[in-house]
Amino acid sequence: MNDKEITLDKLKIGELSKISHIDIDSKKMYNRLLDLGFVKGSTIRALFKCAIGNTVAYLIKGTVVGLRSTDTKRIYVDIV
Amino acid sequence: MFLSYKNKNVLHKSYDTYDYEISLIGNPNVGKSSIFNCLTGLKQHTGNWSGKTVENAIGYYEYNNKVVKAVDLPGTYSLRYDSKEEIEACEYIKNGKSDCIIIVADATNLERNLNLILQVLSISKKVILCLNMIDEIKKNNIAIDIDELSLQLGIPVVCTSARNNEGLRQLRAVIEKFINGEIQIYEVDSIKRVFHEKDVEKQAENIFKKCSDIYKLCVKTEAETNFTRNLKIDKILTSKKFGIPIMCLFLLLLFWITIFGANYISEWLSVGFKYISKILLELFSLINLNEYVISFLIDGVYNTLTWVIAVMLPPMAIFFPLFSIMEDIGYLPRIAFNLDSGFQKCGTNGKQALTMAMGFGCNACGVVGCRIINTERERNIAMLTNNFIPCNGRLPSLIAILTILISTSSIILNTALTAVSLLLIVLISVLVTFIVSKVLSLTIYKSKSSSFVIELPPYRKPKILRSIVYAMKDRALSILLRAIAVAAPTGAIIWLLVNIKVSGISLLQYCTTFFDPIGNILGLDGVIITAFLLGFTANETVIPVILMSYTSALTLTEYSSYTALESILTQNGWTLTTAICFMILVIFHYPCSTTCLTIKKESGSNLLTFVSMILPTAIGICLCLLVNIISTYIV
Repeated sequence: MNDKEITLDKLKIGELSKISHIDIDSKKMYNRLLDLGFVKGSTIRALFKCAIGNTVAYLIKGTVVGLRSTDTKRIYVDIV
Repeated sequence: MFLSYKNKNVLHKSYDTYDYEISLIGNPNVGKSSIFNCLTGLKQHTGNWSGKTVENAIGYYEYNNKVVKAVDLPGTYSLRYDSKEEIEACEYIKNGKSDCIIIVADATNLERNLNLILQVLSISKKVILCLNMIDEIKKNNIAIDIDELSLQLGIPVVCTSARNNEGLRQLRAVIEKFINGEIQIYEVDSIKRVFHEKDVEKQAENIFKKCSDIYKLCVKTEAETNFTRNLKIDKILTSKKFGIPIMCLFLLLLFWITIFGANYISEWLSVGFKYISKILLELFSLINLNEYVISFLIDGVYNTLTWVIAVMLPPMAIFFPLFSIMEDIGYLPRIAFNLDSGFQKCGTNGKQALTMAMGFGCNACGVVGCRIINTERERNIAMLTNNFIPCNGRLPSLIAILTILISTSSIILNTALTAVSLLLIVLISVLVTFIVSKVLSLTIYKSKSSSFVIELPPYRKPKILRSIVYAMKDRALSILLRAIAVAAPTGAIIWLLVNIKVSGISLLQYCTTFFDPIGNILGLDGVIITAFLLGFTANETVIPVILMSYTSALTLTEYSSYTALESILTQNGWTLTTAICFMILVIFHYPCSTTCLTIKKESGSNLLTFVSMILPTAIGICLCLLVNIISTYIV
């Protein structure tokens, strides 16, 4: 595990990173993430947080997606 | 039951045979349904958020004397995995029924869309790419080399802007040429090779690498001007300080405009209808129609019909277009995004907010919309709680009672206060939805909370005039037809119940006297209970039935103004408690027949449908009891 690798939920707002690997149990969610571009090497940036709670919006492959911290805890990224 | 959500446009022709079949596939929210509408002339409901189309729509169009059947498949990100709709889309393409598959892609988001494009190409050769939203490209200074793209993919590419009705003619022409074999297509080896890799993760990596390569070759510049603006807006709309208050403000504004505008339109309509009724009366007397028949037609059928049209239609005709505009802008996914944490705590997810929003328009539509929720248990919870949101058929009843209760000297203050009260009522419904969802997820539908992904599409300038015209036409027409189909017979039935007497007492009176004891415990009376029972067919008829019962269906001159309504109600013993309990019951009672049928169809479970009827009714009864008891002790 390299120094700069963190889980996505720890990515600060505005920070850029590259996807390293995904460790999600649910096959459905995993496939869904793959289709949205969550593959090794894709750049992802945290944009903004929601009004209440821990859901954050990320920019990946030109799309803005909202994800919960329970899921982003299991996505590993390398800070750029 | 007369105008189900499927047949919104009852005026389209249906064909028994057709010459070709085409299907439309694409990512969610690329304007696929808009393209479908433009091609077929059907009016599928479109909106700026993912997951709007939830079932295959079928339409037809004619081109060069050939009939083409078009199938609009639900939006899907890939052909790979196991959501019901996406398996369906995949199977549809694989079974080769279509003579031509049209992939609709978002030109402003080509790289991500290429994922699906490549997957479809790996399965079928009969493909055309339709690059939609081409007008947004020009705005963003993005240039796409269409010829290069066509070369890279090996298929024809057509640019369209469904919103502006551009490129459709060319699309139809290309489709025909394609089906006739006049267009050269070829298989691209490098694309084929991507799919040789069988490991899912590696294959996805390969696909995106290929997408990236194609994208770099074909798309020349990249400007992010709109993106930064969208981001600024989003940061405000989702901020901790302003996010939720702005949401409430939007809803408040929606309500206020509806109430204010509806006031005037109702007045004009009722004056008009009164005038017509006088003419009808003269006409009927002229042809010497029996006085009972005249009464049946005018006091029974005509009055109920026109009451529903004059009082129920204006709020709906205003609310719906405004709501469509908000939908068009793309604000709804932000609501789901903001509220997701709240829903997560209740064991469901933010997409339920979207189904609740649809429930404002029509609970049956809200129930169908639950298909966007991925897990069955969350879907069931959403279906069971959807009815807590008052639909367009019930909002006017609430507005009517609130208008009577709130009377200050200024119209603006009145309407503003009414709007605020309506907002409070809706907030209470939302709160109850949260609570009940939580209880359901702790008891019947126990499980770990699931994953959640929501796409936040870019904001779009709404086509205001077009939205208004279309929504009014579509909505106003369907309400009109529904009024005729439901209100008229209901009026007829009530008239009969009032005028058919056994031992000097009308049938209706037997009924209402029977329900009086139950009604009184709930702070209401037998008439109201009877009205709700009859209102099972359609919620709009509840107040008209109450009025007709109280007045024994006699002709009234100022039938549909709020002051007349108030005097009739007070003359029949309505107090503040009655008004409050009535409003409670309006919100918390069984879904209307259309919605119940929809729940049965969507869930396939009789038990669920049964619970969906009992649950809100039980809550309503308990709350009414509570209010009644409290008021008895206070007064």
